[in-house]
Amino acid sequence: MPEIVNTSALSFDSDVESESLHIEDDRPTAIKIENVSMVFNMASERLNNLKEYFLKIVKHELFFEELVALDDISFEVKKGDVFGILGTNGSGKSTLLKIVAGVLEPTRGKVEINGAIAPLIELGAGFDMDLSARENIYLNGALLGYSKEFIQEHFDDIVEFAEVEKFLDMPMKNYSSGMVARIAFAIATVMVPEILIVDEVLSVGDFMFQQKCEDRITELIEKHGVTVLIVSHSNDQVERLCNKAIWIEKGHPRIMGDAKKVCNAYKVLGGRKGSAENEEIVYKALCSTEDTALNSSKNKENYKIIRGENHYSTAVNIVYAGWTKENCDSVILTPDFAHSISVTVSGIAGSLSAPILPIRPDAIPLEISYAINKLSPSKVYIVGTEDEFQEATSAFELTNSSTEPIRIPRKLFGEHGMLQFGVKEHLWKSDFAIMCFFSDPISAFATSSLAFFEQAPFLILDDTKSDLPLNHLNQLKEMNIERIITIGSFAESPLADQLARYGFDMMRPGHDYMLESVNIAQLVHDRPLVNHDELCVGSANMARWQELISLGAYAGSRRSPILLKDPTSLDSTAECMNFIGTTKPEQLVFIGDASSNEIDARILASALLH
Amino acid sequence: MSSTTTAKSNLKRDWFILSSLVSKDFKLKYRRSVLGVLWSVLNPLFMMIILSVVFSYFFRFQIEHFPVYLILGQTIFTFMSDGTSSAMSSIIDSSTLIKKIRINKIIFPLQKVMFALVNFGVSLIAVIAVMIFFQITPTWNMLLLPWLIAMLFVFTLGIGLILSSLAVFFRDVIHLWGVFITAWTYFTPLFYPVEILPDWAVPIMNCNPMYYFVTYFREIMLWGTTPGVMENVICLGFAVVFLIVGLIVFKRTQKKFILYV
Repeated sequence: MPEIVNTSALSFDSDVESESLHIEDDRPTAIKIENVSMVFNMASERLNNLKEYFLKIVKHELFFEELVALDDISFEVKKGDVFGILGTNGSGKSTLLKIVAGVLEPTRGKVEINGAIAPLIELGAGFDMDLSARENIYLNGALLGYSKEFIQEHFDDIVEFAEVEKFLDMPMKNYSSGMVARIAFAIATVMVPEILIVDEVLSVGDFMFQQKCEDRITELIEKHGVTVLIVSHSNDQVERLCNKAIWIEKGHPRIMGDAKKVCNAYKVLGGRKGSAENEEIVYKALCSTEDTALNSSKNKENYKIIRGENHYSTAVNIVYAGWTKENCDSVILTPDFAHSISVTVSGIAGSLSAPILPIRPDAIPLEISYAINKLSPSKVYIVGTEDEFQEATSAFELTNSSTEPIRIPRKLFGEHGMLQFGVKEHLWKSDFAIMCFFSDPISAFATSSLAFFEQAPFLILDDTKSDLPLNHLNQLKEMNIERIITIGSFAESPLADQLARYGFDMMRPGHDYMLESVNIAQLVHDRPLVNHDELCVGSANMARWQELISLGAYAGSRRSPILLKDPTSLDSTAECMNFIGTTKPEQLVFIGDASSNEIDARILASALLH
Repeated sequence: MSSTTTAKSNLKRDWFILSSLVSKDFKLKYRRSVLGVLWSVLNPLFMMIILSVVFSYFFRFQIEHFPVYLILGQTIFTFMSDGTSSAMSSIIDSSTLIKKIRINKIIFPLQKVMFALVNFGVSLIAVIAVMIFFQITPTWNMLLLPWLIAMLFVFTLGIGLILSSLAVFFRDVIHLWGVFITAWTYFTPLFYPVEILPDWAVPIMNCNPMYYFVTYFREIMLWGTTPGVMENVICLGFAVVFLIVGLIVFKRTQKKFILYV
């Protein structure tokens, strides 16, 4: 979690929004927070005895360190509203709830509450573990403000909801945490409060408990018109349950209003690092995508999304987008334990016009074997060492395919390496090679389409190497390689120097953009005969890199550049939007994770319109 | 903050909370013990027997019905010391509650003093037993007992309020109070007659509120005399003064409890 986050207020600037504000809301106010600030004196934590107190007075350190937990927050919740409070950890949400519940007094500001509050700030406050459930129900009920008669009346309901009939008289310290949570929740919601405050309590417990809680809360909202104030990390929950929301970041209110808008803003901008300017750019794009239907229908024509449930099905869908039975003669299968394999073989794939599909080293996933059947290529290649190939072939025989796989060596150099394989089969067509380090998977994937359509060798090398052996260099020369395109950190390495000295012409992507992957996209874009009408966008999220295995071949087959966007960085999004806005392709193709949020896709696509 | 709940229902709610907490303490105190509540009777009884043995035979004070003299002083003093000591940690111990529920914080020390009162009530059984054993004739003065207890309750509560607030900010108070109570025990004529005090100690004794409370108890129970106006005024004075100070200190500081507890 970045410590430095943007906390400035975001504003809506479309006309539609300001119109809706003028609609009169006659409902009575349930909660009104006016300019509330909460300042904690951090030094107070360390003062527990007289000695320290006097020392601090003497040292004049008594009142200096302050923590501003909330800074000038104002909002109003009308009766019947379901108001969500969103924010990353440490943003002051719980503090705000405590102030509303009356547990904490704000340092400044006014709080107005109209109605009895039932707080669910932590379940089971007041439970004494030595007492039985029966005794605790009465005790907790008393603390929540119920009368004895009320508890007696609803005792059976509580026990039933919590499903603890058999254990009523056992001390609660023997209960499981789930049972404790259920009892606490049952007691807290057996009464229909006027205002319900829920503080992330739904995040504990198993999914059945969470479902039960949500159902009960929904029932309170729909049947009884209870005003609810809910703090949640779950965007989905807030979107589902709330009609209005506020996003608070480190004590500062960022945006407030319609729940969907706030949730979208939080989804797209929340917890992401980036400069304030870039955040502004992305936010403006987000707002523009939320505008009228006209806008969004225009948007829909210029992008498409390819994704699947797992990376195998995503790969299959990518391949189907570019290949059918008719034009698929060969297929290359690469084991998915390292990213480098599919990238290095891209040039060969390009020469064979073959799609690349990922397989497991010991098995052919169902989706893949199905796809192979559907495409029915006459040749199937598998990349690997001798042993890996044996294992993969045995797995392949289990599928109903009659083709005998052909081995492409995984090792690059040498007489029995991949490079020599390409030479023997006359597969390499370019006069340049691409070189990259193993530690730069993003840059590697970004350049894979170039390797494909130029049919160039792509060498991914070990970082620890500081020079290449002479016979490797000679092998490159024999392949008529005259230039090297260096990608990522490779460009500055001693290896690159060695290659330059050996007589290779070194090329590298320009520095126009901060992100290497965008620079690579620019490099590819500028090459001759590149398709400027299509741009493939993938995610630079290395947790899901397998989705990009088939991307190089697909993008390469269309001669399109690949743009990889970092989903955790707003700077990346802004840069990608800049690139898209400059190069203006006609269509954007989003792969997998890059658009698991439809919103992300629309934001990038919006760059096409301006 | 404005609230639509009425003051009366607040009181009712608070009273229910109070009684629930007191009964909880009571249940928990003797759960899993074989003799249970009996200990509230046996404890003062045993203490009295031990102290009687020690002080009657070893120190040979000339006090009529010495065991009764002892047990009367003891139970009264125990009420005060238990009440104040448990009230002292009441806020700290209830930190989880205070941080989560909006509750009238005065309930916590109040509840502890009430619990001490309940224990005192039970120990009266021991007192009566001893009095019957020594054939002390009851007089109408015993009817003043509720009045005495009320004053002592208010007094204890006042001290409890002060201590509970201070303890939140300075935990040292807890240790200091333990020492102070011990000293106080010796400075109150619980197991010796007032007369044996040296001259320099007399002014201290005159400022000792417990001296007056204990003497009052003995007067109405043991000696069968009616305490004079002066004594009533002094006891009442102590009670009221400490209560007022306690309330002021507590109310002034209660908003900050949540930050330090």
